Amino acid sequence: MLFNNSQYLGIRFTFFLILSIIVMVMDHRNHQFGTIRGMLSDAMAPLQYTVNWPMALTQRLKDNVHSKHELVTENTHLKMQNLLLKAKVQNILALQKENTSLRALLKSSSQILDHVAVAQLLAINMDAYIAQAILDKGKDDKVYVGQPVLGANGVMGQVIQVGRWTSRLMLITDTRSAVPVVNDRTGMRAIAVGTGAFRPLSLINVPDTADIAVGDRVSTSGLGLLYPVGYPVGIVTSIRKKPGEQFSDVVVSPTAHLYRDTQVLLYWHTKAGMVDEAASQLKQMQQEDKNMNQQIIERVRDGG
Amino acid sequence: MGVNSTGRSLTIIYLTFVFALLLTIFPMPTWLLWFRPEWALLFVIYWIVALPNRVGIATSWCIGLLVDVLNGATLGEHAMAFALVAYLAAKSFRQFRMSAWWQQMISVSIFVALYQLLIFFLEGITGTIPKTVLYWLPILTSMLVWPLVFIVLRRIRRRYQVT
Repeated sequence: MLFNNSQYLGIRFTFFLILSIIVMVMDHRNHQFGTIRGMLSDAMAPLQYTVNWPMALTQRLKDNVHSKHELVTENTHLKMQNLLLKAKVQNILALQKENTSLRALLKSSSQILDHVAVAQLLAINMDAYIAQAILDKGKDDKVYVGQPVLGANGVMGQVIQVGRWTSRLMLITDTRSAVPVVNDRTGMRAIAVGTGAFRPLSLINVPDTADIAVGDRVSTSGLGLLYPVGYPVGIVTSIRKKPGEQFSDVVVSPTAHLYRDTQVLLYWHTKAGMVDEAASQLKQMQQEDKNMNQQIIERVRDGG
Repeated sequence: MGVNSTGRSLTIIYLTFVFALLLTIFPMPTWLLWFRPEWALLFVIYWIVALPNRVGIATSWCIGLLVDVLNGATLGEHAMAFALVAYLAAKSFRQFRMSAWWQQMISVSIFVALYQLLIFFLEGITGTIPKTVLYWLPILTSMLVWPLVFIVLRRIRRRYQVT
C-alpha cells in the first residue's frame, strides 16, 4: 500500500504541476476566469469577517471604557469641527452653484456633488508585498470594478475585484497602480505609479527641466476618467536629477493613511441629475439662513 | 472504524486548515507582517507527515488555491508551491517522523525556503516581485513556530483519535 502510494506520488505531483500552470495562464490571460475567482472569494468571505471580529470587539470595548471627561472633550471638539465644516459647506455650495452656471455658459458637462458611501476595511494587507485590502461592501452594494476609493486624507486606490459581499481594493502603492495627477502649484501633469506596499509612489516621465519642487502637492487630474478630479494624492518628498538622463526620479509620499484608515469612501461618478439636488439643497440652506437672519433681526428689534 | 470515523477525522483535519487560513489573514501591525509564519504550509506539512493516506498533494493543492484567493495572488501560484512541498513531504515522511525535533525544524525551514523561492520566481513572471530581503523572513519564523504547531496538532490528533 505504502509502496504503491509513493510510486504514484510522482505522477500525481506532475499532474498538479501542470494543472497549476494551466490555472495560472488562464487566470492571467482570460478574464472569464474572474467568475471562478469570484465564487472562491465569496466562499472565503466568512473567514474575512471572522478575522475582523476580534478587532471590532476590541474597538467596541475601547469605546465602552472611555471616561466621561474624554467623551465631553471629544464632543466639544467635534461640535466645533462640525460648526466649521458647516460654514465651509455653505461657502462650497455657493461656489458650486457659481461653477455650474459658469460651466453651463461654457457648455461643458459638470460633475457636482457625487455619490459616496462609507466602507469598512476587512483584513488590511494580508500579505506584506501585495498592496491590497478587502472591503466589506460588494456587488450587493453596487460596488463595481474600477471604482475609485478615497480616504479621509487622500486617494486610497481602486476596486479591482467584486464579490457578492466583499470586494478587493488595490492601493495606489501597488506596482500595478497608476494615478494621473497634476501638480497643484504649477499645473504640470504626471502619472504616479506605485512601487510596492509600504513604499512611496514615483512620478514617471517627469522631464529634467520640469518645474517641480520638494513639498509640492499632487492631486488627481481626472484624466483617465477613473479617479475624480482634485483629490490629494501625495506630497513630493525628493527629486533626483540624473545627469545624462532625460527624466528625473520624483518620489511622492501618499497623503492618505493607507495602512491606518479603517474606513474609506466608495465613490460613484454621477450624472447631471445630481445637479438639481445640489441646487435644491442650496435653496434650502439659503432659506434657513434667511429665517435665522429674520429671527435675529426680530430679537434685536424686541430688545431695542 | 468505517465511514463514520473517516468522516470525523476529515472534519477535524479540515477544521485545523480553516484555523490555519484564519491565521494567514489575521490583521497584524505593519512591522509584524513580515514575521508572519507560513501557517497553512506548516499545517499541511504536519498532516502529510502524520497521516499521508489522508492528506496528500491534492488536498495541499486546494489549500494553496485558497491561499491564492485570500492573498489576491495569481490563481495557481501558491497552489503550485503547496503541491511541491506536499510532494517532498510525502516522499520523505518516514525519515521526517524519525528525526529529532531540531532536525525537523531544519527540514521545515528547507521546505519553506523552497516554497518561498518558487513563489518568488512565479511573482517575478507576473511582475509583482517583492523588493526587500524581509521577504525571506518567514523561513526563520516558520522554523521557530514549528515545534508549537507540531505539539498542538499532535495533541489534537491524539485527543480526537484522528486516523
